[in-house]
Amino acid sequence: MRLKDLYRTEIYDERRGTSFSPIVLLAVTLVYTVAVVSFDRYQTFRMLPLAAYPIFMGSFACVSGRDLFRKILTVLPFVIFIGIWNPFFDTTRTEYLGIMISMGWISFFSLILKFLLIVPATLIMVAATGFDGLCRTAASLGLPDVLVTQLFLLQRYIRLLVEETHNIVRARVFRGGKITIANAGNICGPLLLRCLSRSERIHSALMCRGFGGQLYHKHGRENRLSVHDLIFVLTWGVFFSMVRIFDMPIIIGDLIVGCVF
Amino acid sequence: MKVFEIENICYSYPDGTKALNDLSFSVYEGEILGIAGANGSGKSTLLMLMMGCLSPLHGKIIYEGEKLSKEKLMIMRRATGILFQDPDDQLFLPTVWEDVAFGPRNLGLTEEEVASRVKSALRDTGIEALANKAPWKLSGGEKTLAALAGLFAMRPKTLLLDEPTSGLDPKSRRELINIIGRTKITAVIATHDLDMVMDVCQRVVIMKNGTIESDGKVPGVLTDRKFMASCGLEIPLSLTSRFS
Repeated sequence: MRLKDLYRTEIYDERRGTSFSPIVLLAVTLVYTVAVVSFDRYQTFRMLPLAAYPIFMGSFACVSGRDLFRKILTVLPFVIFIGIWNPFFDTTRTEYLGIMISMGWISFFSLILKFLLIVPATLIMVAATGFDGLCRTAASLGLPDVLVTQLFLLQRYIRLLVEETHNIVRARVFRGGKITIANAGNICGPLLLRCLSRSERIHSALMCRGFGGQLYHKHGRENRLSVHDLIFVLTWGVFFSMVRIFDMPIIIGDLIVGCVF
Repeated sequence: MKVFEIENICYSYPDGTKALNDLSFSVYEGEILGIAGANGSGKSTLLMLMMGCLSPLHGKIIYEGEKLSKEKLMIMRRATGILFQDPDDQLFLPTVWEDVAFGPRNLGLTEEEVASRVKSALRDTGIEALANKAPWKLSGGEKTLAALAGLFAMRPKTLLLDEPTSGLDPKSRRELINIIGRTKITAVIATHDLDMVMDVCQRVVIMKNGTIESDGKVPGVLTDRKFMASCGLEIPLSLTSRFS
């Protein structure tokens, strides 16, 4: 994993080939997240059918699986670090799929599974709407302009910030310098000053083009929904509800067993 | 008619570095004025002061006969476009089209009028094919042209250009010079590309250490080899063979 993978945001720069309204994608992904989170921490297989949503959306929006995998791998260690304590604190043993296992391990796998369902779905949603589309939707939903502007500019200029960091680090390394904790301040200081200077220039550029605090001018067209949008919302809404109410893997398993035998 | 009148302005940066010292000159309607000087002579600072991004410590800036107040600043910014040295500072929206439309939308125009202005600005700068591209995926020259299109779309009466040809290859530089040469609007170009000054400017101000060393007609000032050397400059390459 390299540093540049963290800011590899090309897949989120522009809208993918979906014709759905960003507001619909945002709403469905929110409902999906709530559905995933609402499962008990000891339930694992019951939420597996929900993987259909990121798989469907990922292929529909032509999101690169490799890019997605890279991003997930970047964050995964943090989730493992949080979840790995569960087996130590929750040592009650139970039989699970014929194996004796502590409840802590089940909740750990449940956490990892929730992460693997929610994070890709969110990333795919951002890729499908485009970051600009997402900010536009947020603005049309009434998020304060100052927050929308900050969010948008953060995404836009984070790449430049990382490039500046690369330049400073490279300049040191090429001249035989080493990056240590002790001299990290020498890197952070100039980086902060460069960022300040750039942000001042960006602000000046915005002001010179008549920026009055509103990045997106509302036209009232952002929230219009088509029939496709409504079908999309309804289909996934029904699917999430079914997965949440019924134990789908058991039902599907019973059906298969019934058909075969 | 004078568009800008700069009267005895002084400016120092917060760290105490003196950038401009008792500087006075005027910009007349319809002229293309070159501001030349070595690195650190205060050219960019001067443009920032003219746009009201910085405030002078002494002296005043008069725009169309009135001192720059808060209200006048708004009027001036609607009628004046500035091209920054690094186009990345001013291109931030997801597509070139959106970015060029940013200024006209801030002027409160209708979407139809915005679209018409964007089309015309992209045509004038010759980058219609880049309309749907992301600005950060463009080359340096294309970025400069996209930033310039963003200014044209606002239909400014005056353009302030900060080192517009820096970092451009000869072809992009020539394209840019042609575009600037074609515009019939007042322009102030801060540059050390003296060949560009020769090509497009009628008058040139030579700066050295934050002061004006000379203000006059282009061929006259730029051909004085000794004077140019004393300002840390050389005579334009296009004149070298004739005067060496």
